[in-house]
Amino acid sequence: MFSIHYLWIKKTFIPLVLFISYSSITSHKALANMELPIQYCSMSINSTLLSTDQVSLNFSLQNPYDKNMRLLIWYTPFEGFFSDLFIITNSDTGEQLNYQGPMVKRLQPQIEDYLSLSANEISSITLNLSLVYVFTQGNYQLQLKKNSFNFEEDNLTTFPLFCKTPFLEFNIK
Amino acid sequence: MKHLVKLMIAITAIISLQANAAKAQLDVQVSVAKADNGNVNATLNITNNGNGQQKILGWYTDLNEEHIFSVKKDGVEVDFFGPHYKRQAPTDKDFIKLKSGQSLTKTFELSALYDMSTTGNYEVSYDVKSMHLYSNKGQQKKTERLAVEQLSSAVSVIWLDGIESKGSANKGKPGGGGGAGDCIGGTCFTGRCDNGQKTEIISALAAADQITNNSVSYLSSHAANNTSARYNTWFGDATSARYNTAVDHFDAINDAIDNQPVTFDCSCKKSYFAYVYPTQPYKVYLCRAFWNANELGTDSRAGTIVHELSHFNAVAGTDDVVYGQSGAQSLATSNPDQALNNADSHEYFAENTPNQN
Ligand SMILES: [Zn+2]
Repeated sequence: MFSIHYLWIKKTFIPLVLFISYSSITSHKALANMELPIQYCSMSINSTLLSTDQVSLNFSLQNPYDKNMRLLIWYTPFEGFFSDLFIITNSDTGEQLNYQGPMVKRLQPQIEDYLSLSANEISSITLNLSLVYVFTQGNYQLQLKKNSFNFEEDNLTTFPLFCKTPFLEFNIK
Repeated sequence: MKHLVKLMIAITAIISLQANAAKAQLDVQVSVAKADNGNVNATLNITNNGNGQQKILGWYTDLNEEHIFSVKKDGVEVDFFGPHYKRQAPTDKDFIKLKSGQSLTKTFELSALYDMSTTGNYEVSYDVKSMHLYSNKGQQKKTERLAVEQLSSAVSVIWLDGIESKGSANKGKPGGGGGAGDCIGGTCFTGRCDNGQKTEIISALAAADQITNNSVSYLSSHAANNTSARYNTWFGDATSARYNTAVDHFDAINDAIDNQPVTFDCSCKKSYFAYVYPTQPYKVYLCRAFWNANELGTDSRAGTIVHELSHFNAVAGTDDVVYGQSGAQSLATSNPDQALNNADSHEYFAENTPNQN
């Protein structure tokens, strides 16, 4: 069932999506709200290396298109900590952790603000969350704040895609 | 017998030092010039005046790799802010070869790497001492390997007028008037700001002071029940609680500019305007878009400084709820409380471009 779904996506869904997006603005909007299946964007916490100073989160995203695309990395984990990327709640107290990292004022993205991805390429990054969030011992819930990703073709046509990342729970001893 | 061996080694060492001294047929010259923006350019010229080929270790020809210039101000060595790398022993490919008569010329900007912001006479010379200056000693005898090689130039002197802080910004700041660290009139610099950048920052900070003073005086001459287009465009409907928040925020931004030790860092090479860590006042990191912006007007240098200072928890603790003028205007209409929590709304109120009463 799972693999059939995946195959359908890969062979049929994507070309259809591209066709629609070229055809009209209204269907382009529909595409923006299109949700990619979860295997295209995965997120996990390394539970073997978990302490108040080491909360390693691995994020990966797959280019869902059968062609080279570029991804705007602003406000995504691929940019590193230049915005408040996550919603992290201490489940014991119900309090949301404050982001302690840099807050950036931006203008127009430049060439280096994009990540090039070849057809169906998967890109991953590992971030140590304890650099910008203060953890104490306890139980936590984490989700990605912004789940939309802007893919662009060379001709600057933008394909904003929604990719729902998992909701993670972890415990720091 | 043991002493004799030591003596022999010592004699060999002296001979090899002399051999190396004789080998130094490289002539080094440094000339220093001041650019219009206050930057200081040093041109290094190394010429092989010998008959044969000479080698010199590449990183001793590059200020971005090694501390190759001695800079003295009024006779006192000036601190070097550049890198010091811990390196592996060099290999053959790390050496630059100069044929007989050939020379190498490179120009380096000095004021980003040495504090040259105060008035005085600066003496600049090339001065390098190393065990590996001319050759890869891996295959040589131990005594030769231990000899220190030296290469230096004559001193080139330049008079520099210091960068002055202008306007009323900084007047009550601690540590003003130079002294501790790389600071001018209470404004400090990190991350290799050159003299041209320091001058532009001080001018932008004076402009930020001006638009902040203007914001403070607007707010003191109006009231929650007497706002005008300028307030309503950026902060929406006023209540007395909201209006007092705006007053507090601009008083705090004004205090940061006038009285707090603001530090600007020039190391960011990203496409951004600027960034701060809200928990780490009062350090502002300036990036490429800042240097391309105008001093005043929409999304200007002055406005960016107001925006960034407003983020500090010790100032106004604002967030980036929305970016850009149209987003900030919509936010003022839809959610005035969030507009007072949005850094760009503060920036646009202060920039007041186009001008509104
Ligand atoms: Zn900001």
